[in-house]
Amino acid sequence: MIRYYPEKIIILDDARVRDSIITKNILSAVEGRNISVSYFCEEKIAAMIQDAKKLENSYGEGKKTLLITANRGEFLKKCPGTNDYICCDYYIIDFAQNCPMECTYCILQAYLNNPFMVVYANIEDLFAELNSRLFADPHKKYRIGTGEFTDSLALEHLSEYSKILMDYFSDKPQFIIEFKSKTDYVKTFTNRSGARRNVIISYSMNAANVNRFEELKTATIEERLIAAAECVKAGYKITLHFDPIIDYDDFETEMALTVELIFKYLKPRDILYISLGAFRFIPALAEIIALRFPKSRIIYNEFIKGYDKKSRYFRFKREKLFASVIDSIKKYDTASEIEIYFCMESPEMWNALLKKAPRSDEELGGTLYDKCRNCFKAI
Amino acid sequence: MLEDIQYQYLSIPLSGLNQADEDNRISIPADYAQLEKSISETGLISPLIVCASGAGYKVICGFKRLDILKKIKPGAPVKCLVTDPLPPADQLALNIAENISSRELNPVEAANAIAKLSAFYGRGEIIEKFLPAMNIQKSEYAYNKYISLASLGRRAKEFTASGRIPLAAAFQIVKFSCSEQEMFLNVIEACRMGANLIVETAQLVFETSMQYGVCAGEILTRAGCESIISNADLTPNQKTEEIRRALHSLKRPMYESAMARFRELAAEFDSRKISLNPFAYFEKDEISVKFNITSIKDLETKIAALERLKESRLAAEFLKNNGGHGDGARKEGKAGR
Repeated sequence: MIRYYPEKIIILDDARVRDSIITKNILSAVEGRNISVSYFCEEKIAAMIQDAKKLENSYGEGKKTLLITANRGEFLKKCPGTNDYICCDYYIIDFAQNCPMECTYCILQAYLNNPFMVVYANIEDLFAELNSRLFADPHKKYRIGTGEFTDSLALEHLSEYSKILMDYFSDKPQFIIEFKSKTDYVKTFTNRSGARRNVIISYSMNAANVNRFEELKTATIEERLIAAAECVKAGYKITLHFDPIIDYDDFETEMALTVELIFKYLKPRDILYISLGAFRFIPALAEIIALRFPKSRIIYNEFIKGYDKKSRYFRFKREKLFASVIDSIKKYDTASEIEIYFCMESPEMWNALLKKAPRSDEELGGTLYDKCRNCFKAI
Repeated sequence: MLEDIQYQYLSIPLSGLNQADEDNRISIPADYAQLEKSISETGLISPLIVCASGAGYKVICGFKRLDILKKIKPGAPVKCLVTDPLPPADQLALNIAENISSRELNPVEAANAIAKLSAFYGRGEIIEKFLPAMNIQKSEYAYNKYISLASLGRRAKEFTASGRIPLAAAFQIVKFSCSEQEMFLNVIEACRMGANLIVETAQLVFETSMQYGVCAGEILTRAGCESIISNADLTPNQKTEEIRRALHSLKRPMYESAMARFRELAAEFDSRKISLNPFAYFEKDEISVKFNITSIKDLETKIAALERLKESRLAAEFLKNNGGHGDGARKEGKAGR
């Protein structure tokens, strides 16, 4: 997989950003490359963002610029759920926004209002917030990820953000931290002695042809799994996310190929859990996909409006897709070592295909947390 | 510069104008009843603008007027303002400027203008300079949309220019081939569809064609549109309903199949005047039951019917804890691709 390097770097001229270890890491990583670096005040950067939004294909073009700035809002956010669909009570550290990869279905295309690649360098503010919020409820079972508004590892070769976060959480084993990625970057995990016992490396999975045609500029499924196997070798546990599962040509065969590949590189005991979520989207995203990826047909299917107002496949179609993936996994995970759960699905779906539906988001979150903790204790 | 152009007033016989040269034409040949009436009654008030070209004159502005004059005054000379020879880009710009100074271009004219401008100007210049002048949003998105519109078939252009199909529908059917556009126009004419229905139908046909990976014509054929519109026993409204039903069945086959199964099993309760409906899109294992009671005896009848519901195949297939979970419906429902 080709690693991302920006054409130019814009840095907020603020001591918290300028002097940050994140900024220093990035500048050191791009040294010797023909990349322009400029420092600007907030107003100037805001104007540059507005200009970039006017560009043809602003979403694609904007990624050529890496903006290192400060996050003035909250870093720690709860993953938004919806009543009536069961959520896994997940938390996110908003450390960066946007992604250099080009998945046709990516929600960030409709969600972000800034086309630049953004990294928040005010890491001392992040730590201060985590210190004050994470310990407020000692009973809270936190599973925290960084791969919601960006890919956790897409900029790791530049910023080493995940490495820094791992160091922060190294003496806080009660918190589970998950790095979710479509890359094959592993140095952060393999270049250190001893795996962190509260760290999970997580990979997005999809049917082989979806990976080929809809996940552009990402690592292939096999590259991700080779990376996962290296992480396992270094002592880490893996989680896998089949999300979005897309009703695609030769779905069962192509999905079976991916599942076969998973168990070529990983054993069931290496995998803590697997989540399944079917493709869903807001109307604005459909327009963007039609415009940016006119060859993609993923937005044309039998969709309904879900409780969350997003388009999603008709229930019985989702059920068929999920059943196919679960059956494929079960062929290899004969002892049911892997916890399988749904992302944003109805109790009806749980009852039809998995064990009894959790009574609440906290119950599901707790189950997943306990699975991780028990596994880490056993290592 | 357009403002520096010098004009000379001349009366030129029709034969002196290069009528076959339509390089600068942005209007579509059509029935201009109002303009024709005006020219018949008061003659040509605004002269054509032409420039010397070879042995004759090339028309820059006034193609509609020329169409009418050829029809109603074929022998009469035409009042013209003659310019010195101009570069093609200036001729086109002059035509557009002349048109927008007196009226608003219809969407097809705007599309034709943009498409022709693109031979002389860059995309950015057209967006910045010409789109606002034509009252079109200054954006890449609008530019692409209008450029696509220029490739509509002739009849579809006429429908769009005259407002018989809304612009939103035109943007959909431009993705169809010319013969498919014809099929679509035949459908909406036969059904006498209103604007909203035309847009909805165009979108439905396009999305379904993408869903199945086939052309729009194939979808119109699979929906049986040809036989529906030629059925003399149906009113336009009934034709519309039939076509919508057929297109929706293609668009959401699993849902339609589940609904058909539900209706089939619920039918036995119709005679007891009990209305049974599934939860929206079957997202929940719930059935909505509605009935009115008029007497104690009627109540007893309804209670007996509900008792039967408990043991019915409908409950077994569409309520939870029966091991069914709509299996029948699901077996019927095939993925739409």
